[in-house]
Amino acid sequence: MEVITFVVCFFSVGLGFGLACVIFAILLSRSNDIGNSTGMVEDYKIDISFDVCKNHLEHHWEKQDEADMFIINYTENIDSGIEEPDPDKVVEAMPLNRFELEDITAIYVDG
Amino acid sequence: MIARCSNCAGRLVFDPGTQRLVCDKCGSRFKPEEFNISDNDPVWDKRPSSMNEILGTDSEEYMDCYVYTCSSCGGEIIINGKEASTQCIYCGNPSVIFSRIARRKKPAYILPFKNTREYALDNIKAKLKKGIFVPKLLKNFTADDVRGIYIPYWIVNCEHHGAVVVENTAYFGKSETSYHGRAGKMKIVNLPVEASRLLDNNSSLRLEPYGLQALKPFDEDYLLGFYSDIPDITYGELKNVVHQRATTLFDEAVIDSASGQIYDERHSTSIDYQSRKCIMLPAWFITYDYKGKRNTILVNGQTGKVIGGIPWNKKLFYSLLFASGLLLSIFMYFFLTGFGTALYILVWGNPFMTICLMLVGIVSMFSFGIATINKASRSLELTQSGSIFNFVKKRQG
Repeated sequence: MEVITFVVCFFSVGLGFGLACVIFAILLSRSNDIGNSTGMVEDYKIDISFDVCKNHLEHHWEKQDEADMFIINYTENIDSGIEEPDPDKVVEAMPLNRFELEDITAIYVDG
Repeated sequence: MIARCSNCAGRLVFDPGTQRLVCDKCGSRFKPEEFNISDNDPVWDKRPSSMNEILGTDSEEYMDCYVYTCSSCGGEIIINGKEASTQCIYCGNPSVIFSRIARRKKPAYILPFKNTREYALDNIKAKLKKGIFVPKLLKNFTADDVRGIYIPYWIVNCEHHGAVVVENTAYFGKSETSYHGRAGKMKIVNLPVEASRLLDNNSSLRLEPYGLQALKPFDEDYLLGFYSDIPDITYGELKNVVHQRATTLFDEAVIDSASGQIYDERHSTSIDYQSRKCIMLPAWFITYDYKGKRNTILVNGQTGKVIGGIPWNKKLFYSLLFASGLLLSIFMYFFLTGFGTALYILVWGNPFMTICLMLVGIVSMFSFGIATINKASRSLELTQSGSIFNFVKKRQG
C-alpha cells in the first residue's frame, strides 16, 4: 500500500509540474516571444510535385533496407549545366529590365 | 545628396502614411515617381572618400569608415562601407549616397515603407501591454532610437530536388513506428534572400513574409529620410542560404503529406543566377535599454509584424510556475486516488501500461515546456545580440 501511495505521489507531482510547465511555457511564448514565425510554403510562389510516394517502408536497424534504399534510389542531383559562379565573389545585379516588374507582381497577385 | 522642395527649397522626406515626398517647411507633397532628385544635382558619381585616404594612414580601425560631404550644409558625414543612404548629423538632411547604388549595385525594385514610425511604436506598445510576463518598466515603453532601414535582398528562382524518409510513431496499445518516403521536385519563383552580411539571417527571416506584389521600380526618392545598405553577400553565401531555405520548405511540404519526423534526407538545389534581382525591403529597428542591455525590436515596414524577444520577469514567472505546479500536483493526487481510480488502474487494470503512459506523458510535457522556454530565451538573445545592435547603431543621425 505504501508503495502504491509513493507511486501515486510521484506521478501526481510529475503530471502536475509537467502540465504547469506546458501552460507557462505557452504563456511565456505568447507574451514575450513576439513574431517568431517565418514565411511558410503558402507565402511563396512554390510549385512542388512528389514523383515518388511510398508508404510503410520496411526498416531494420541492423541491415540496409527499403527505408535506406529509398534515399539512395531516388536522390537526384540537379545540374543546370551552367558553370557555378566563383563562391567568393560578391553577387552583383543583372542589367536592369524594367518590364520584369509586371511579371513579379502578377505572380504574387495570382498566387 | 538631398532633395529640395520646388516651392520653398525646404528638405523633402518620404512619408509612408501618404506615400508622398513631403516638404518639412511648406508641407508640399510630391509623388516620388514624378520627382527626380538626381536631376537637381550633377554629382551622380561623387564618391565618398575613405578615412585612410583623408588621414593618409593605413589603419584597420578606419577600414570601414568613409567620409561624404553633405550637399546641404557641407558637413562631413561618416558612413560605413555598406550604407546607401543616411542622414546628416549636423543639419538633419536626408542624404542618398548615390555612387554606392549606381550601376551594377543599383537595386531593381523597392518596397516603400507603408507603416509610419508612430504606427511601429504603437504596435510595439500594444504588444508589450498585453504581455503577462513583461516587466512593469517596459509596459511604459520608451524607445531610445527608431530607425527605418531598407534591407537589401536578392530574389532568385531555383529548382530543388529532395528525397526524404519520414518516421511516424503512433500508440495503439503499444507503440508502432512506420516509415514513409517522398521524392520530388520543387520550383521556387522569386525567393527573397537577405543580402546584408551585417544583419543576422535569423532576424531577417522572421520579418518575412513581405507582400512582393507592392514592389515598385527602384527610385532614390523612396530612400529620403531612411537608412539603407547595399547588398554584399557572396555567391557562396547566396547558394547556402537558398539551399537551406529550399530544404526547409521541401521538408515542410513532406511533413504535411506524411506526418512525422524527418528520418533521413538528401537534397540538391540549383539556382537560376540569371533571374536574380536586387530589391530593398523596409523594416523599422527600435532600440531600447533595459537593465544596461541594448534590445532591438524589428517591425516589418510593410505588414507591421513585430519581431523580438522581450525581457521577462523571471521572479514572477518561476514563482507562478511553482505555485501552479503545486496546485496541479494536489489536484492530480486527488484525481488519481479519488474514487479509487488509482487503485483500480494499478491493481485490476494493466499497471505496467498505465505507468509507461504516464511516464511518456510527463517526459513529453517537460520536454515541450523546456524547449519552448529555451526558444523564448534564444529569441531574447537575438534581440540583445551585438550584431543587430551594430547593424542599427553604426549609422549617423
